[in-house]
Amino acid sequence: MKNKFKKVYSLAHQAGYRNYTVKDLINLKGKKKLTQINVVSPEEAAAAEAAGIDMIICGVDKLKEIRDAAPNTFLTCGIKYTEHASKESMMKKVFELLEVGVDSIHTNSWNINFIKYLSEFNIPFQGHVGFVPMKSTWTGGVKPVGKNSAEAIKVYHDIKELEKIGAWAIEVECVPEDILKEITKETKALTISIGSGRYADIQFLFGEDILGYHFNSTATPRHAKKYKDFNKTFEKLQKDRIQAFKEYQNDVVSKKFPSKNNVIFAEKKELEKFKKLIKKL
Amino acid sequence: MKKKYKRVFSINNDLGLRNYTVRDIINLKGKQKLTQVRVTTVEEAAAAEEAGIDLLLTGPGKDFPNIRKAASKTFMTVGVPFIENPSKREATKKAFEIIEAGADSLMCQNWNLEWMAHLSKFRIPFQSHVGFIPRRTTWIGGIRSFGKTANEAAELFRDIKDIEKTGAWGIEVELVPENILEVITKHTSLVTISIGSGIAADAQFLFAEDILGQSKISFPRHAKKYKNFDKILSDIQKERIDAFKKYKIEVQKNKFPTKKHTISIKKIELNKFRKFLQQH
Repeated sequence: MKNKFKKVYSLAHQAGYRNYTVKDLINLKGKKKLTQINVVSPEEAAAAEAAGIDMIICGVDKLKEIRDAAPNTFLTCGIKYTEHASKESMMKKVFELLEVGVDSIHTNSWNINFIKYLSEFNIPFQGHVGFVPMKSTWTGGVKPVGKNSAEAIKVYHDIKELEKIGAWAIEVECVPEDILKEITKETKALTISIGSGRYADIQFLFGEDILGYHFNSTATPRHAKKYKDFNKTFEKLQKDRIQAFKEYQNDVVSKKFPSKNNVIFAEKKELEKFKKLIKKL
Repeated sequence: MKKKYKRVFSINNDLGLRNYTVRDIINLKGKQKLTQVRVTTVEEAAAAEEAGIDLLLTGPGKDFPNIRKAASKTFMTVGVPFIENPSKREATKKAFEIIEAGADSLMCQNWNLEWMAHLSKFRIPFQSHVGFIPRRTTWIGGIRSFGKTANEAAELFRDIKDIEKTGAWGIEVELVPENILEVITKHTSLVTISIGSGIAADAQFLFAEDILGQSKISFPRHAKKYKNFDKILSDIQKERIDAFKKYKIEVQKNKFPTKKHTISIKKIELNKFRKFLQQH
């Protein structure tokens, strides 16, 4: 899978290479199925880029390492709304992220007025509708959103509002496939499906679900597909670590480590001189 | 390898279990070989505890609280950076912070001796570092062993004695001839911790990444590699790439998602929604 990267300027004016500009992505709406993966480590980011994944998304924590690991892939970064109580504080954080080289911001759960403010700077952003974990108390907990026409109309309005503000894309989570199929035709924004069916412009999954490891829960969510069993892989890796440390512990206790090849010796003459010297100290 | 843990109060007054108190470690000098491993991740810390490693060393970074939790019962020493804390007061403040986060002992590497003596007045256990000290290598002419001549060995001995007087419990001794450290170990009350300084020290110290064979630089002579993690991790990375490639191909070929990954809606509700769209 060969990737062609194009020369671009980042939003903070750094020259570099990317697989897409936001314009390219917009132009691909309805023409090509795109993929987006949420990554949490530089290893996952590097793997996504090597695999030719179209877009990656991550949080603020390891952003720099992730950007460095996948310098050529369109990268969106999410900012938790609870960490910024004003739009000015939020923008300050956005600017910091742009300096690290992000291509787009994820405005998951933000105050709508903060999103409007962001759009005044012409910074590409994606929104989030349907089942939004941090706002799910409003939709009745962990369950699909839009299974009746009233809820579906609400999803439609949410999407139209974000479109109007200038979102280039919208993550749509756990909405019936038929509903998102209709909405995708009715919006200029690219729709990003996670659990919302085949007709979205972009398919989105978490790296951990694709790889099959879970820190917080045991099960793969219904909307996801597990391509590997990394729970098992990581278990084996940890067993290897424990075994290595045990062997080291045993080697030291039984005086097998260090051996002659691991050490340095002073010449006999210098050693004797030293013994005399310390008697005087 | 069953470990017996004892009930202890940590320096920040938390009641918990540990493999050793600092008194136990001091009492074992000359009696039992101990191991110390430097860990940088939660996984390494947990593996070291499970393997029965005696002592752990780590940094004060943002992962420290998780590393402490992952190996809650192993005597843990934490480095206090000297560059960021350029006064006795600041260094002590940082030391207190690290103790609050659960350290059993501090590593005062490159510290001013007077600050170490000050720390002792609080009865806080700490170890230090002599011999080859990476940040001080300009004084010895670069990366090399230290103490191969009688005069250098005597200088090393004086360094150790100075640190002993400040009230340290242990001393990491790096790249010193084995027969020199053998003599010194008998002439100091400090627990000597060897890295590349031979078998006669009271404790042996290695980096987890060297034990696991995960070194990014060339493998040091003093270390022993028990696994080839460079290879193992590179195989895992290939698996990641393979998974992401398969996902991408399935999306492009409309093989993912399938019906079972999606949510359905009743025809009547869908039609109501379609009507709504027509009106907008």
